[in-house]
Amino acid sequence: MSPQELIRTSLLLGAFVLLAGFYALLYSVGLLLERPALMLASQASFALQCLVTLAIIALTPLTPWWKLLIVVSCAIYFRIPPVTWRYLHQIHHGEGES
Amino acid sequence: MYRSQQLALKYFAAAIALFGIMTAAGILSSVYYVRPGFLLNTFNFSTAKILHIDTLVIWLLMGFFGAVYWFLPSELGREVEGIGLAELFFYIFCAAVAVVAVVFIFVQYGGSTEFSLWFINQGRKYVEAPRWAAIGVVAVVAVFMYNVVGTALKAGKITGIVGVLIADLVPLFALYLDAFPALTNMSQDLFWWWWLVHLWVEATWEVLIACIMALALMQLLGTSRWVVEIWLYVEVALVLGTGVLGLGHHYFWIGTPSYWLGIGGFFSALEPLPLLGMVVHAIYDAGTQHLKTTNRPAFYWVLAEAFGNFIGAGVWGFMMTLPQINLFAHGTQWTVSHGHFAFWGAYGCGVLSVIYLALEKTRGSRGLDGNAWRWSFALLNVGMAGMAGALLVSGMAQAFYERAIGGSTLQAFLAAQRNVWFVEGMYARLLFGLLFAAGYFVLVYDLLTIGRSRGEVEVETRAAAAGS
Amino acid sequence: MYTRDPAFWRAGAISVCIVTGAVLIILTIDSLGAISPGGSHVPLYSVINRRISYEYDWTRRMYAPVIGGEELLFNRKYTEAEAAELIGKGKMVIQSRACMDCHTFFGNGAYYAPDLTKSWLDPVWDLTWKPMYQGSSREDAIVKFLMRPDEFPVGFRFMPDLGITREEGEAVAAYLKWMSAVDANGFPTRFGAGATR
Repeated sequence: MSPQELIRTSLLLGAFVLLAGFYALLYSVGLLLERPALMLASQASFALQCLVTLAIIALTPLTPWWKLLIVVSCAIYFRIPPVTWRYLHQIHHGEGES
Repeated sequence: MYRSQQLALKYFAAAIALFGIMTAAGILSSVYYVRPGFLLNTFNFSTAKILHIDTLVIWLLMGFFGAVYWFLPSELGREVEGIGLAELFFYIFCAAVAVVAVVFIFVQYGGSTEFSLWFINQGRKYVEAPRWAAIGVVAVVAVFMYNVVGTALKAGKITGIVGVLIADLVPLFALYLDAFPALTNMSQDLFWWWWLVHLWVEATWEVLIACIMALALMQLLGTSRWVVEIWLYVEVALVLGTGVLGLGHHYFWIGTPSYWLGIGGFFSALEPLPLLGMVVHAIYDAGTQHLKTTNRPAFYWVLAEAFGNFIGAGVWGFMMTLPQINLFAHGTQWTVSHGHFAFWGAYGCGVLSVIYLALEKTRGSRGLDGNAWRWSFALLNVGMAGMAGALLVSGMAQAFYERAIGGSTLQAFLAAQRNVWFVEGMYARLLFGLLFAAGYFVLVYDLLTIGRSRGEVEVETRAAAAGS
Repeated sequence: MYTRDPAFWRAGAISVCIVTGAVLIILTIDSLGAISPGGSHVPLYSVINRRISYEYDWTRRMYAPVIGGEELLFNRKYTEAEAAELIGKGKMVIQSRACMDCHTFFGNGAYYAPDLTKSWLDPVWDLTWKPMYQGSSREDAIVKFLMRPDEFPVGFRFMPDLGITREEGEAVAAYLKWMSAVDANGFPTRFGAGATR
C-alpha cells in the first residue's frame, strides 16, 4: 500500500462508519419526530455510505475478502436502525403485558 | 441514605479528584511535544505520562465502584454486606494511590532489581504501579467482589443485572493478576498484557458500564427492569461476541502467528455494529422517555456516552483497525487519537452521568439543571473532540512520513516529528486540552453546587420560561 | 415471542461468551508455542551470536527477519543459558527504567521516542552514534549511548540520563539484538528502506 493509498483507504473506512452513524441518527430522529424530510435525509446518508463502499471497492488496495466484509457490513448497517427501533418499540410497549 | 451510598459519594469525589490530576498530567505531557528538552532529567516525559495513564485507569475504576456502591442497596433491598470493610479499603486505596504517585514523582526509577519492581516502578504500561500496590488493588477488588456477592447472598436474590455483574467481576479480577509477572520474552509479556488491557477495556469494563447504565436508566427514565435486562443481555452478547476475539487486533505485530491478522481484523471490523444499535437506542430513549426525566445533566451525559462511544471507539477505531492500515498506524499518535476519544466516549461520559444521578438524590432536589453543567459539557466534549481531531492529523502525518515513506528508523521518526502537519497537530492538541481542562474546572464547580439553592432556582426559572 | 424473553437473550449472551472464549483459548495455546523462544516466530536467545537482517519475503508478502551466520555480540559467544540470563537482565532494565513510557516495543508503549523493535538494525548506530561516542562496535555504541544519552544533545528530542550502568547497557543491547530477530508479521514495514546512506 502506498502512503497515499493509506490515507485514502483509512479516510474512506472512517467515512463508511460515520455515514452509517448519520443514517441511524437521522432515521431515529425522523421516526421520533415524524418528519419525512429527516427520513429522506437518512436514506441519502445511507446512499452516500453505499457510494463510499463502491469507492472502497474501486479505489483501495484491500484484497477481495476485505472488500466483501465491507459490503456485507454495509448491508448489516442498513438493517440495524429499523430492526433496533422496531424491537425497542415492541419491548417497551409490551411492558404492560409482562 | 445507606452507608454504601455514602461510600459511593466518597468514591465519586476521589474519582473526580483523580480526573483532575489526570488532566493536569495530560496537559503537562503535551507540553513536552512542543518544547524540546522540557524538564529533561528533572521530570521526564515518562513520569508525566505514567501519572496521566494510571490516574485514567484509577479514576474510572473508582467511578465504577462508586456507581455500584450507589445502586446496589436499592437494587437488592438491603445494606451492602461487609460495608465496614469496604469503607476501610476505600481509604487504603486512596492512600496507596498517593504513595505510588509520590514515589513516581520523587524517586522515579531504581536499579534493574526486583526491589524496583516491588517498590518503585514496574514499567509496564498502565500497570506501572509497584507490586506492593498491585497487591493492594487485588485486595480492594476482592473486597468489592465480596461486597457484591455477599449482599446478593444475604438478600437471597440475584437480579439479572446483579447476575451479569457478578459473572463479570470474576474475569475482571482474574485478569488483573497479569499486573505482576515480569517475563523476559517481550512477545509473551505483551501477549498476556493484552489479555489484561483489552479484556478489561473492550470486554469486562464494557459489561460493567453496561450494568451500571442499566441501573442508571431504570432510575433516570423509569424504564422497566424487564426491558433493561433484555437490553443488557443483548449488549453483552454483541459486545463480547465481537470483543473477545477482537483481542486479536492487538496480536498483529507482537510476534504471534499471522492468522491473528485475519481473525483480529475481522472481529474488530464488526465491533462498531453494536455501537450503532446503542445510538439508535439512545435516541429512542431520548424521545419516547424524555418527558419523564428532570435530571438533564445525567441524561445528556448518557447521550454523550452513546455517541462518544460510537464515534471514538467505532468510527475512529474502524479507521485504523484493518491490518493493512494498522501496519502503518500502529504505535503512532493515531493510536493516541483513538485511545483518548474511545476512553472518553465509552467510560468517562458514563461515570459522569451516574455522578449526576447520585447528586440529584443527595441534594434532595426535584431535578437538576442549570447553566454550569452545559458549559462543562460543551467544554469537555469540544475539548476532547478537538484533541482527537488534532491527534488524528498528527497521527496520519506520522504514519505517512515515519512509517510509509521513512521506514520507521530514528531518522524517519524525527522527520515525522518535525513535519509541519505533526507539529501543528501537537499545538492544536494542547489548545483543545486547555479547553478540556477549563471544562473540568466548571465541572467541579457544578458538582459542588448543583441541586443546592442555585440549581433549584434555575430549574424553576427554566420551567417558567418554557411555559410549562 | 421468545425474543421478548430475557432468558432467551441471557442464553445467547452465555453461548456467545463460551464459544468465543473457547476459540480464544485454543488460539492462545497455539500462539504460546509460536511465541516461545525457539518457536515459529520468536528465536532462541542465543540468536544474539548471529547476524540479523530484515528482508522482504515474497512468499509471505511481508518483511521478515533473516538469521545469518555468526556475528558475535561483545566478542563473546553466549550459550543459550547465558544469553537468556543477559536478555533477562535487559528486560529488568527496560522495566525498572519504564522505557515503555517513552518508547514502543512492537509498537506498544508511548510515542514520545522511537519504536525499538528493529532498533538494532537502525543505521544511526553505525553512521552516527558509533563515531560520536567512539564506540568500538555497534553494541558498544549502544551501551555508551545508554550510559550518557544526553551527552550529545543534537536535534530536538532528548533521552534522559537514567543512571544505566555498563552492565545494564550491555544487557539492553543484547535485548535489542534478540528482539530485532522476532518475526512480527512485517512490522515495522520497510525498516531502514527510507534511510540515506
